[in-house]
Amino acid sequence: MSSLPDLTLFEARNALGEGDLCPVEYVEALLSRIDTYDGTFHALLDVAADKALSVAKNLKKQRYINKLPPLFGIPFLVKDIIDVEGSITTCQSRASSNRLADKNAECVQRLVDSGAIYLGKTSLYEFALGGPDFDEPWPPARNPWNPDFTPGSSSSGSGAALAAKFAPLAMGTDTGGSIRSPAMMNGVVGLKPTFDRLPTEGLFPLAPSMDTVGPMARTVQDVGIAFSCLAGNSSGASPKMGRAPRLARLDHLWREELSTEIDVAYLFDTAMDDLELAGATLIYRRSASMKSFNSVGWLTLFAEAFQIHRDTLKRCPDRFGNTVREMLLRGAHVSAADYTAAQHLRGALTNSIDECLHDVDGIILPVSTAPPCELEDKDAMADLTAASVRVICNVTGHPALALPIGLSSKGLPLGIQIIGRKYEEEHMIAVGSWVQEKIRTWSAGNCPDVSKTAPQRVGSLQTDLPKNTQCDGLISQTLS
Amino acid sequence: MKNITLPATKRLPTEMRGKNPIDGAESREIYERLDLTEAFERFPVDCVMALQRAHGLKQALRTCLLEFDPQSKISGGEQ
Repeated sequence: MSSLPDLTLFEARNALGEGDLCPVEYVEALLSRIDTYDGTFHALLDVAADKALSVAKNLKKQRYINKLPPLFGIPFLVKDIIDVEGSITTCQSRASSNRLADKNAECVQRLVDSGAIYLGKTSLYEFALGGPDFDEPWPPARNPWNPDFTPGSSSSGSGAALAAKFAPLAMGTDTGGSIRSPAMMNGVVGLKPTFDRLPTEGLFPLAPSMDTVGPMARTVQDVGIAFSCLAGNSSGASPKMGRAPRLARLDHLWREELSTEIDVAYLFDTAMDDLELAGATLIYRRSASMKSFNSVGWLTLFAEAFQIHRDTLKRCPDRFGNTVREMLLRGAHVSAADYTAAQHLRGALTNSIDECLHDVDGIILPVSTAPPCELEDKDAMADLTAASVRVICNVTGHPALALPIGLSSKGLPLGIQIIGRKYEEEHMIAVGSWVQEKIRTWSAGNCPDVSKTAPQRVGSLQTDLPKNTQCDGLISQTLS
Repeated sequence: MKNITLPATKRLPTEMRGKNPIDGAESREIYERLDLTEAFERFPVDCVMALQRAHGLKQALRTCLLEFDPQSKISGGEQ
């Protein structure tokens, strides 16, 4: 058997189900790995070590009593904008209310009901919107493939934690691409579901008309298993494709409208060749422009986010980090007429994507036209934001699955996204599974050797990690 | 409906079209109207940047509306 953190969710589930692996032993192995490496990656804001071990011990007893639930003994992490009972939801911001969640968010509860073990909270960009601010009390997450590089936004910690093998499953949120960006940049898989397919109760909102929550894991199969539990399907099975898919290429969106780095174009084309050789049918189609998706998406997002944070911006604007404050202020200038115009166009853009999905199994696009860049290079980070091809699905509400296809010339992961028809996530996962199998420039579950990318610092869990309890004190201090 | 042509003195020079024509003093007035005076006083650079970027986004939206539906009656609005 591989070392325990190496196990995919599927492998761990089988080992736990067969009794070859004890939930306590598994949790302990992951805690030890977090303790060793997270001092470098800062993927976690809080580790619920005692709680996780206690639940694992109880599960160990249950193993001999009941039919095992589909995620029996699987540890999972949660982006710290999602409520977990008994834990403060910090949203990684000094402006967040000092509120202890009195119950689990619905998505967390569904995982717990499926037998999964909550392991801790992952870091994010402030309120799932800002940038990697270095003036915040929590350090931004770093990419396990190379800690000098960004792990993507805004579910940064969830992506980094999966690549560093701190857990086999993590939850993220996606309002403008925040599951798919870190999925790509850390070489893992992320699913942004159809708007309103998964419950968002218990999430701190960013832009309520676009907010979604979804699973991230190291393989498409693992994401499929988690999605089935989150969607209320107790089978916990991941769908498979029985034939080669038909896929629509909307290359005009990025080749004509965005500046594309050569690494991205080369790997994307290589992946498309692999798919065609394996029998896929690729059809070129044209949708509305990237400019229209961007203007509608960002205008809607800033307007809705401003409404949520308006009072705090008025009373104490200094509580926000520099990046998020400026972004929120953009929303102050969106009038009712602008917002209405954006929603009018949004309907037409949704029809445009629906038309492109006619008689195909999905749309295929890169996640970004630029590879991950150095975290502290502000210009490159701004270019990376402009290279996003992700907001399309947030505008239209369609589901999308991001998966890795290879490494850039600097050794950082690149990825594609498959957009599916609304409420047909299972079919999209089946397509993604087929695609992942046929792409020869990436093997499913590939991860960096963190023993080489991170110096080992045993004991960091106790000394270095900014915990929720510390945040609690800091926020109280700020509020007083 | 009569066409309204702005007098030459009110028109933006070509190089300014699509860019933010608002200076610092006007920005202050806008933020005061929005009841965000404190934000402007403490973070004037962020405020001017936010105004410029919002302005750019709104311009892009109007262009897209016209491209998508040249007959559109919905054109967005000025603050």
